[in-house]
Formats: sequence, C-alpha cells, structure tokens
Amino acid sequence: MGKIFRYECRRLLWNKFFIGLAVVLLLYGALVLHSVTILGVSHTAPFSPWSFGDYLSRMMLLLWLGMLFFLTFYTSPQARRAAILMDATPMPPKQYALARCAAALTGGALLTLLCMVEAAVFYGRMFHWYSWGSLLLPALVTLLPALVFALGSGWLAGQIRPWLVYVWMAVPFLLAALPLPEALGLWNGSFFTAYPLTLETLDPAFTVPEVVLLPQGIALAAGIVLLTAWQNRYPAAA
Amino acid sequence: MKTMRLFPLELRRLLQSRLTWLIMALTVLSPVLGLVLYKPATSTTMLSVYLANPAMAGGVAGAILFGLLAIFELDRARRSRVDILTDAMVSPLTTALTRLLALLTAAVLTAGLTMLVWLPISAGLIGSVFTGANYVLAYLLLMGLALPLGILAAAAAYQFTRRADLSIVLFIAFCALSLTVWADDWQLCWLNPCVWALSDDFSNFRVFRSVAWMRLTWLAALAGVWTVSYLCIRQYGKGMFGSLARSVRRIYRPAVALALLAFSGTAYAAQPFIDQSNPDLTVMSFYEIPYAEGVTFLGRSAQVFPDTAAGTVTGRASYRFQNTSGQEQSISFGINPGYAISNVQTNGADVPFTVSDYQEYNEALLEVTIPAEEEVELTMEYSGFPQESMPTMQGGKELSSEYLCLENSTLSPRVMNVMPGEAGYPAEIEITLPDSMIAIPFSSSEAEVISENADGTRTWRYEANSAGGILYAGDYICEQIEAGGMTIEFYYGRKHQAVMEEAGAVDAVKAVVDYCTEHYGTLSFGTGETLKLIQSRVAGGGYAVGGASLLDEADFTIANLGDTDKGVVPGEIFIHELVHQWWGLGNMFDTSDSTSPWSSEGLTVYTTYRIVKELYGADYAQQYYVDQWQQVVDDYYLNFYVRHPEYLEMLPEAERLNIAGGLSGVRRYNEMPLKILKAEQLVGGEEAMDQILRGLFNRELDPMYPYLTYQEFLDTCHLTEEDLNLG
Amino acid sequence: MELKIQNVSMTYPSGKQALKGLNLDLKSPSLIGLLGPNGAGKSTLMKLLVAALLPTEGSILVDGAPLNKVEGKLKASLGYLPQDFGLFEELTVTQFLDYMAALKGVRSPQAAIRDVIRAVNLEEKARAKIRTLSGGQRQRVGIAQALLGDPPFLIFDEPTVGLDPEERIHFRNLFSRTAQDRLVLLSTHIIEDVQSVCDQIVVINHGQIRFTGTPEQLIASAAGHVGAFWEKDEKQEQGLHITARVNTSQGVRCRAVADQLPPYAQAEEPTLEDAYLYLISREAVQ
Repeated sequence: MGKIFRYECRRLLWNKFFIGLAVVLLLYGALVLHSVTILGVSHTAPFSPWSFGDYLSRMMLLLWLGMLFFLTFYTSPQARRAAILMDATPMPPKQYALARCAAALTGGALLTLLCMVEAAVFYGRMFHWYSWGSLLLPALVTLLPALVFALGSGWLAGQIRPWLVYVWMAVPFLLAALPLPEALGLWNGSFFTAYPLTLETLDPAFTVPEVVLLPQGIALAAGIVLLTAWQNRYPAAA
Repeated sequence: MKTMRLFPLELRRLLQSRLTWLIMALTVLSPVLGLVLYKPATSTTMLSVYLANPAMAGGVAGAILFGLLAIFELDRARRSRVDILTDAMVSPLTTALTRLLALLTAAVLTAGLTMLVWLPISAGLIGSVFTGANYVLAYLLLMGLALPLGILAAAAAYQFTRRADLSIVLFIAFCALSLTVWADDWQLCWLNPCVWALSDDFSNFRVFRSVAWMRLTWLAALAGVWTVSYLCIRQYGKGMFGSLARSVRRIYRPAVALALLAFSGTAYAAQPFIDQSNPDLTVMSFYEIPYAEGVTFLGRSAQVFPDTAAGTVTGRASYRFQNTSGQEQSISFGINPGYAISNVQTNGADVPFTVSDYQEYNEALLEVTIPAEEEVELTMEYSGFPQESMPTMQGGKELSSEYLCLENSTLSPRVMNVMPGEAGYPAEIEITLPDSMIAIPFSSSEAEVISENADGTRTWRYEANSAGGILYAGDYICEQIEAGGMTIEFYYGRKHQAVMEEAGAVDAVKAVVDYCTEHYGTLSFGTGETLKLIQSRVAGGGYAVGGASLLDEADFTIANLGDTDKGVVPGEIFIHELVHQWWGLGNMFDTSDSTSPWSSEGLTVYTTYRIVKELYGADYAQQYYVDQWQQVVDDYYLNFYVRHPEYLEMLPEAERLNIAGGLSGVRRYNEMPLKILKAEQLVGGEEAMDQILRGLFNRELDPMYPYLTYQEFLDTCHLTEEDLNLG
Repeated sequence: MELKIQNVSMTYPSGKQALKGLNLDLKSPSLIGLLGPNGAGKSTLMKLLVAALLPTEGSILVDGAPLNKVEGKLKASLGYLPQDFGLFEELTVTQFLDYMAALKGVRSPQAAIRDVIRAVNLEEKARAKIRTLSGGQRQRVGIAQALLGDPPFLIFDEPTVGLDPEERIHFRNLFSRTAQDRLVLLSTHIIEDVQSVCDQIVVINHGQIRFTGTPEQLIASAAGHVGAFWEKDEKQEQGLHITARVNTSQGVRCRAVADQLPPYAQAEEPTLEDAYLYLISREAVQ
C-alpha cells in the first residue's frame, strides 16, 4: 500500500503538469491577494479569517480543477489500458483505489498548502502579520468538504464516463455564477462577504452558523461515501 | 505545386480533429475575457470597453491557443509516428509548409467566425456609436492578425527544437514577454497591441495604422524566423545544422528568409508614428534658448493642407521679423519631428537651416539664420506624417476626414526665441479641409470659409495671436445655446448626436450655465460673449483657454452617462461634467492631494446635487444623492484601512497608492459633498452657501497660486475642519 | 493447479456473443496453445480466466472452487500479459516493475525484479523511462511483469508480437522452461511458436472449442487432406484452400487443404499449420 501510494504520488506530483498547475495557482493566488484580499472583506482586515476565507473560496475554483485533473491520471485512455494489468493482480480494488485517492488527495493538499503558504507570505510581507493559527478553521470548513466531495464525485464521474470528469470541472464556475441560497454561501464565497455584516459588530470573530455547516458536513460525508462505496464495485464491470 | 495539392487534404484532416474545433470554439468565445478579465484599453469610451478590449483579449487568447494547436499538430505526426510514412512519400519541408497553410486557414476561418458571432453582441453593447469600419478593423488588426503570429512563432519553436514540451515553454515565454516586459513598448508587444482607447465619435485610423504597422513588422519577422526554422527541418537523418546546410542549397529559400527579416528590421527602425523625444519630462531646454537679440515678431501666416486620406500635412509658413541688431541672427522654431522642412528662404533667397536630432516634448528644433536686414520675411515649406510622443497613448494626432487636431508646431513651425512685437504674435492661418469638416480654432477666434474649391474642399481662415495655437476640425454639429447671458457654441461629433439628444445635452448645458452663472458668476475663460465647448476625440482629459473649453468624449459615453456614482440619469452626468467648467481642475482647483477630500469633485458633485434638486425636486435629490453619499461614507468609516491607517502605511508603495486612490475617491465624491452640505446647514442654508461660493468663484486670484483651497473655503464659511466632521 | 471451464457463455452488453457453451479443463504442468482466427473468442476467454469479465452463463472452477469465490487466490497465482495493455510512461522499467510487484504482493521484490529483467533481456534499459522504449522493449516489460513473483498460472496473449526472430526464439524457450512446473496458456497467431513449445492445443472458432489435444493429434487429423500440384489453370483452385503458392522456374507450385483432394494433387505430409487451416476451412465450408 505504502509503495503504491508513493509511486502514485510520484506519478501525480513529479511531472510538468503539476508544476504548471502550481505556477498557475500561485499566479492566480497572487492576483487575488493583491487585488481583492488586500482590501479586506466586510470591513475586516485582509488577514481576518473572513478575508482569508474569501481568498480560499476564490482559489477553490482552481483547487477543484486541479483535484479533478489528478483523477484524469486514472481515467485517461492510457491509464485504462494499463488498468488491465493492475486488475489481474491480487491487490484488492478497494485498497488500490484508496491508495490512488490518497495520492490525489495529497496532491490537492499540497496545492492547498501552496495557496496557504502564499497567503502567509503575503500577510507577512505586507502586514508583518504571523498569527496563522486563526486561519485554520476557515480553511478547514471551506476546503476540506469541497475537495473531498470533488474527489468522491469526480471518481464516480470518471467511473461512469471518463469525459464526465472534465464536465465536472465546470461545477465551481457554475456555482460562482449562480445566486445560491445563504446555506450554500461557502460554495461561492458569498458567505464570507455577507455573513459578517449580519453580525452587527466590527471585526467579528469567525463563526459558522449551523445552517451553513450542515451542507458542508453533507458534502464531506457524501464525498467519503462516494469514495468508499464505488470502490467496492466489481472491477470487471468497469 | 505539391503543397497546393496536399493543402486541401491537410486542411480537411485538421478540421476533422476535435481539438481543432475546441481551439476554434474557445477562440471564438475568448473576446468575453475582454469584457470581464483582461482590459488593456483603459479608456471608458464604448469602443474601448466593448470593442478594443474584447478584440485584444480574443487576439491574446487566440494566438496562444492556435500556437499550442500548431505545436500539438506538428508533434502529432512524430508522436503517432505517421511521419515515417509521410516522409517516405513527401518531403518533410513540403509537409511543414502544407501544415502551416492549413493552420493559417483554420485561423482565418476562426477570425471570420468570431467576427460573425460577435457582430450582433458588439453592436448591441456599443449602441448608436457602433460602425462597421471600426468593428472590422478592430477585429482584423487587434485580434485576427495575432493568430498567424502565434502560429508562426509556435511552429518555428517546434521546428527548431523538435520537442513539444520545450516548444510550449519557449512559446509561452515569448507570449509572456509581450504581456509583461514589452507591454508598454508599442513595437515589441506583438501579442497585445498598445491600444489605450478607441474613439466612439471620431475616427481611429491613426491607432489602427499603428497597430497594423506593428503587426506587419512582426508578421515579417516571424515569417522570416519560421522560414529559417523551415530550413532547419531535419532531413536525411541529419541534425539541425546539417539539414540547414542542405536546405539552403536552393538559394531562393534563405533569400526569402533574409528578405523577410530585413523588411521587418527596416519597418521597425523606420516607423513613422512615434518621435524620439527626451523621456525626461522635467527637461525643457527649448524654452531656455535665449531670445534673438534685437529681433521682434511682426506676423505669421500659414497655409495648411492636411491630406485626410494619407494622414499627412503639407504647409507653407511665412514669418515676418524686425531685426534691429544689424547682425545675422539665428532663429529657432519648434517643428513636429515627423515633418521635413524645405525651401527655406529669407527675403526671397535660400538660406541654410538645420533640424536637430534631439527632440523634446514632441518637437525638434529648426534653426535658421536670418540676414542682418531690418525687415525679414522668412518662408518655408513643411510636410510629413505628424509624430506623437507617447507610445502608450497613441491617437492624439488623429488626422482623417472625420477629425483632426493640429497643435502648435504640428499646425505650423512655431517660433521659440523671438520677442513678441507690439501686436504680440499675430497670425493668419488658412487651412483647406474636406467640406464635411468644420474648422474650430481653440481660442476665441472664429474661422470663416474663404473659398469653396472644385475638389470638394473648403479653405478656412482665422486670425490668432500666439506663437503656436491649436486647431480642431471635424464632422461636428454645432448647437448655439443662449445661456448665462452669453452664447455657448457647443460642438460635438455627429455620431454622438443620438447620445447627446438622449442625455438632453442642450437642456443640460443651458440649465448648468444658467444656474452656475446666476449662482456663482460668469466663467473666467469665457470672452464674455461666446464660449466654445468642444467635444474632443478621446485624449485622457479636457482643458480650457480663453474663450474655449475642451470636453473629452470619454466623459460623455453612453456608459459614463449611466454611471450611478456620478448621477442617476444620463442628463445628470452631463450636468456633472459641465459643472466642472466652473469647479474644474486647472482653472479653479490644483491637482488634488490624495490625503485630502478637497478637490474639484466635491463642489462639482454638490453643485450637481443642487441643480438636480432644482430640476427634479428635493425628495429625488435626497434619495439619489444625499442618502447614497451617506451610505458610501458610512462604509468608508468602517473600512479597515480607515480605522487602522498604520496598516496602510505598511504596504508597498504600489499597493498603498492603489488603495489610497480608492479611498480618496470616496472622500472626494461622497465625503466632501456631505461636508459641504453640512457646511451649508451651518452657514444658514442654501442661499448663504451660494453667496459664499459666489464670493469664492469671483475672488481676487493670487497669481502665484490661483487655486481655491480647503482652508479658504472654511475661512469664508467661518468654520473649522472639525465643524465639518461627519462622525 | 487446475481450472475447469464448465458450459461458459459470454454475451457482451452490445449483444455480441463471444463464447457459447465452452467446456475445457486446464491442468498444470502444461503449456497450452490457444489458437483461433481473429474474433474467435480467445481474448474473451482469457479475460474470463483472469476475472476481468464475468461469464453470462456457466462457471469457472479454480481447484474445484468457483472463481468468484477465490478470485483473490487466483490473482495471487496469476501472471497475465494481455494483447493490448498500457504502461506508466513516466516511470522507469524498474520502478514500474516495483509498482507491479507491490500490487502482486511479491516478497523481496528487488531480487524478483532483477530476475525478470534479466529473463527478458532488459538489463540495459532497467533505468530508462518507459516512454523512451521501443515497441518490442515495451512488450518485454509486459512479459516481465507477468513473470514477476513466479506465478504458477501464466496467461500470455500474443506475447511475441513486435519481437525479432531471435527474441521470439528466446521467449519461446523461456515459456517452455517456465511451463515445466506451471500452467501456461499461450494465445498466438504464430503456429510455429505453438508447434515448438506447446504440449496441448485448443482451437476456438466462433466462440466454440473446435479441437483440444496434442499438436500431433491435430496434425494427424489432417492426414490425407493436404496436397500439392503444379498450377496450369486458375480453375484448379476451385474447392481448395490454398495454403502456399510458390513461383518457381518450372511454374507455380500450390499447396492446398481440402476434404477431398482432386486427382491432380499429390498428397503431402501435413504440418501443424496445414492441420489448423484444414480445421478452420472445413468449418467455413460447413
């Protein structure tokens, strides 16, 4: 398992695609930080959890995209041809898929880390601000459910039809364009700009109401279920 | 011949690929980026926002996409090893040429398709100022020609390296260079032309010509580079240089490459658009030339013949001097660096002259020695393509049958070192223009038609009194408006007629002039009887001289007239821009200090509110002005940087200025009007405030600093800054 | 190891019936050659044997137990080289084999990898990225991964495609040695390979088994049905299945198989290829 995970990480992360994606992500991150985050959202500081959450929700477009791109390593025609060899091995499909998902998740985590480090450097350079601990909660609440759900749903889409993964990449862009209800505010970033204003206090502490937490929990659970359930599928039917 | 036979097959194969269609579809969609993301044209004219930016974004995206497609297509044969089969039947050179032609044809198809798809969208967005010629030229030059450049660059990179990954890196780096380091160099930014504005109401031929020049320069350069890479296509198992040595045996091939590269180099060096003016704008050495001793200016006449088709100017100028020094004297003239001077004569005899290589503020120095005679008549001829100084803001020297602006030494050489005579610098200018154009001297002078010529032109004459002088001419509509006890001659472009009518321009002019004259007084730069308000081609701002004031067309675009920050209905924006004639930058206000809310905008917005209140009622003005100011100001006081300015200070200069600029806008457009409103209440109401403002407008000016300061305003109101705090 | 295929049919979702009521016993040690024209059902049979497909009817027993119950056990003792397969281009040969060894659960993988790399003559390319390998070298990587971990059951689908004659002989010998204590199923179009190494032959056509037995038995079945003649008229070929036509200085010499040889044909000793073609052509006539 460990070895498969390491090799999958090597395949996913040690190539021109990952480096290119990381560069694009950093450039886009710099653009967002310098043009939007620097102004702060809802009258809060640029380094408040709210502004940081807004930054992350904007970055989520590319992180989602990156996560699904990782999955294309497993669903491409070439990968499917190689899968004939893998399917004939005694490795249980569930474990094998888990190792591969873990590698994709590691890739996503690395990209996320890159975004967060970029923001940390930005905060340090611009504002000499280093209290990064306060930013972990918005990062966790915003990104973890979305990325696990991206992986689970993307994995399922790839199992059904490989090209569906590419279609699935458009989802966050669609969400960003749609007027979502308040409960789904974390999925298009509107939560970070609208909710603090309703708290009627200056520089409010970071809190997430239950109505917003619920969809996040559902997304996280759905992602995990999709990841585990669909890997029980008899590989021969794929 | 084989290439032509293979071309339809290759094109069909290319068009059968789904990737090709994906690239074509993305390219067709890419102008949308210019509406939302990539906006290199900073002007707010409709054509800049809805035509130039989408076309340029389409050009950038299309060139990159087609470049990548070229690399993919060239690499595909190698990847799938079809090249082993095809090379056995057709020379790889023929295959490369065929592929290039097929890719170029796909690019042409895509550009055509893009123009078709975006035609109704652009026409709808741009509205009444949309014209087919602007549309076609913009898409052809700003977008269409970028595609072949991308293909040629990418294909050359692949043919040199024969590696897809390396070619992509080289190609992207080449694109990035254009988008970053070369972005402000109008000749080098091959991907993203230096277009800052397109005029809605007047022609854009100068900008289009400049872009076409840049594109053709690069087209020749990249075609040359591609041809060299074509010669390097590997053959007979040889490496790059071995293949090159073999390919150049047919001498016409390297000759074509060299000819293309030489053409490009020549086009680069001999560009006629931009001069070589000293970039240090603090140097003004031409103004420090000592006056010619004992020489005074008696008069000047000029006959100017603009060629509106070629964009050039030909002219004859004659100067009369009195030379009491008894010696030869050197007279200096400023001339446009694009002009050639000939036939320089004094009192009928040829005299030598020199034109300096050094240029400053869009002028070169012409020096002529006049004889030691008491009365000297100096004549000369000049002609050429007027050059500009600012490559990133081209278009100021537009010269077409729709519009021209000839300023100072572009109109005729202007004397730099001769003292004025008793009559000053009297001048008599004649200009011959197409009969659709009206000549408008930018002064109190009036031009009159002195002859209607057989070739469909008219010759205009006007008198002026200055060493230089500015002349506008164009297809203008002139509205004569009696207001404020004077005649306003309001000139605006014919294409803008519908917009002006919709905005109620004439009524707005009358309402503003009447209101402001009645409440504050007559304009200082009006001559008392007439005032010319001239709408200029987009130039980045307006200015005023005695008897004339310039309004930048960008202030009167459909979009600007709908900008709710400045007013609610189109007519209100018009009112706002016209009120600037009273409370304007340069005539009443100094350049504003970004830390202070005091600027020309505060009093202008306040006056606009007062006029709107008079026109539409108090409730309307309260709802759309005062309440909106209050809301924005409330937000402003909650802003993080306003509450914690120490964090603003921490930021690097660029970021700090950007944020401070935004905050300063709120202070000037919203906080200051609110403060003036508070001052109005504190001084006893509207009438009292009107008296104060009238007094300030007509105050005795300090010639050293003729601008109205915040302190002067407060002192006149007998208030302190603290009195006007809104918190 | 013993595999029993009992009355197995396979119909794809598209409706195409690839196998019809197949019955077959495979027992180690043995090297079984699987022959049949294109589309006969060979690859489908192999996919069923590696549990890449489930039969729509019938059952496959592995040492007496249904395959779906002992799939893990079967795969643990299986080496499989499909006809069409992909490799991870970005890995080196050694890394790829290490990856496969991990999937197969091979103990002491380093030694096993060294052995298979040596067995397939890829020592020089051990550290090369797979994307840099030629077609034949990739095929050898495929064979190497199948041999990893000394599995007792090997399935090779067209293993010698893309190999030069010398390499083909090398691998033929390798398969023969491997089969001394194992069950090896070799599917190929190259009759010569089968004749050289297989102790048993299974011929499939139209999804059904047409022959099982030794090569000698197959050859014997064609005795009296193979003949040669000098062609004088093209009409002479009517009703015959021509297996060879040689232009010589004396004229065209034809070799043919047929149920009933014509009088102008001289009887010849059948080869395995003749026998195979006789079997297939007879079915076509029927």
